[in-house]
Amino acid sequence: MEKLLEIKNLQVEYYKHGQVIPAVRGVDLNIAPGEIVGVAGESGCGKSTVALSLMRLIPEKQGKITGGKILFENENILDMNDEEMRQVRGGKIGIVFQEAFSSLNPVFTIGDQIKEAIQLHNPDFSNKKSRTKTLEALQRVNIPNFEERYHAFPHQLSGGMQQRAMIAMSLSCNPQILIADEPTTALDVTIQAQILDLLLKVRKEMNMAILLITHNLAVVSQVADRVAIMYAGQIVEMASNEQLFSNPLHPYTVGLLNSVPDVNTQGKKLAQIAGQIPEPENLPKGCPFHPRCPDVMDKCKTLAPETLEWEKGHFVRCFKYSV
Amino acid sequence: MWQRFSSNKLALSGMVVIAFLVIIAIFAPRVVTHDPTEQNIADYLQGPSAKHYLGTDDLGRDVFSRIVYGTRISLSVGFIAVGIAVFIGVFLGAFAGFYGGWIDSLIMRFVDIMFCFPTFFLILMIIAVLGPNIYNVMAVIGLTSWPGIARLVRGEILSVKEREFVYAAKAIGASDLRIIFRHILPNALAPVLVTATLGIADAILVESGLSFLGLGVQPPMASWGNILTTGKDYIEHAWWLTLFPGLAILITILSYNLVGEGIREVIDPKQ
Repeated sequence: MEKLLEIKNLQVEYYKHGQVIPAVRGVDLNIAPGEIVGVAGESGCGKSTVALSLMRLIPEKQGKITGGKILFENENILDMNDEEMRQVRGGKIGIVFQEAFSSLNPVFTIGDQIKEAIQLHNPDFSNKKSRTKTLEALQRVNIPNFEERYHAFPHQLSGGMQQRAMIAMSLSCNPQILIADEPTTALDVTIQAQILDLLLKVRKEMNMAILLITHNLAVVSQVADRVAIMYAGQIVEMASNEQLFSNPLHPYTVGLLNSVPDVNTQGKKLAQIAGQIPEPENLPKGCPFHPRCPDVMDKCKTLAPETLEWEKGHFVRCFKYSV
Repeated sequence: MWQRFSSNKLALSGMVVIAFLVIIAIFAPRVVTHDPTEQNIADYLQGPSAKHYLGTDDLGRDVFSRIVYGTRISLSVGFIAVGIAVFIGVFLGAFAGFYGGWIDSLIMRFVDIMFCFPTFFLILMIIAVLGPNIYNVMAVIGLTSWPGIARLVRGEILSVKEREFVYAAKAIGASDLRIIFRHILPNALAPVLVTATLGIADAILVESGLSFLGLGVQPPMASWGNILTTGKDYIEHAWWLTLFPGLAILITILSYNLVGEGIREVIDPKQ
């Protein structure tokens, strides 16, 4: 498989009150051109940290990438200097954040902001050409009356329109990968569906890879080609969409899928995974999931399982499957 | 914004007065009735009359004309001194707030040191060394009044720089300088505008004070402060020499303060 982006053994730590908090503990993930990879997990599992790491956007004083490699077209992003990094940000990798409203600068019109992104990566463009490109970007994300909306300030747009503007900005310089960090979480369900359709549409038009970070399994199952499930800073299971949802292996994945509400099981108590997610600074020994695992074995309590390939393309990190 | 500002009648009238003063300053040569430096000993210490609207001073110079020319001095000192202060304060405050760490400590400790000096005496001392003239006055007032603005800007930057759109700007590949000056600063400028407006009033007062003490604008050039100096010697016989420049200062300072307060009210979300 051709690899556009390759994350190898990524490790990220945060620092709080002099304490080291491991947020990402050895994540391996590949993305092929034009592929949509979903990363799902509960809050605090490290999925957003992975997304920020790809752009080297972890706030400097709060955390640091301590190990691993992020290869983009065989170049390690972690070794790049500031200038090369600026080329990558927005130019080769775009990112869409969860809260479009707070991600847009309140004092500029959305047109100005998108135009700025275009001019940053195409310094030779004339003002007029950048403007035309901006209008194209607004049109591409299906913003109605885009010529008027060019002059709208963020607060004058609805949540869905703000997210579209944000996506337009991220796509404006034709990145090869779009990182979408919970792009639909702040939106209501009908708008969610529209935004997901939009992501599928631009993926097709621009043959762009998408890394979709979400806690919503329904969203992942609708759009992702491959899915990675994260728990406590590690990927515990990774498989193609069909494999993962038809044959989940890891007890955590099984638990997650069981706890999705379903119209047909109305009236029954919703299944949940017992216990709490462990605090990252206080991970249990052995497999981090063992205190909550229904299939826990003795060795889970002392040894940490390694990732193994159960069937082709279906990876799991659990002793249940080691022979 | 403008509607909320203009509904504040006091602030609006302050703004009208300032606009009026600016026009007078620009068109001073056409407004005056006499050359402000022309002496006419025969007419010395005359009271207000049709010939000399606001009377004459001890050398027979027309007080009205001198006050009109003094407007130029006061307004330009106010603008330029505050311009210098805002420029320095915004730069240093922005870098301190954005980068934090040792840069922040260095700049802010320097600000603390600046705050320790009684500013007026610092200005007096520097002027005494450099020699009194209007350019030195502008420069010295500007160079001593930036610490407040630096501290203010730093605080604003600190509160804005963690907002998500700053990360978003970084994520589209913007450089640090671009992030500071294009994305963060415009979100932090409103309080600076208030401080700058009030700062102009302060600068004008300091200039008048210096000129009054003979350390600012030197005669025969006219400034409100040095008209007052003459007025002090004749206050028992020639009240117009003290009253009118005093009123000019009062009205100007009051107007700037009203405008400053008006802007503060408009941008204050609690109102």
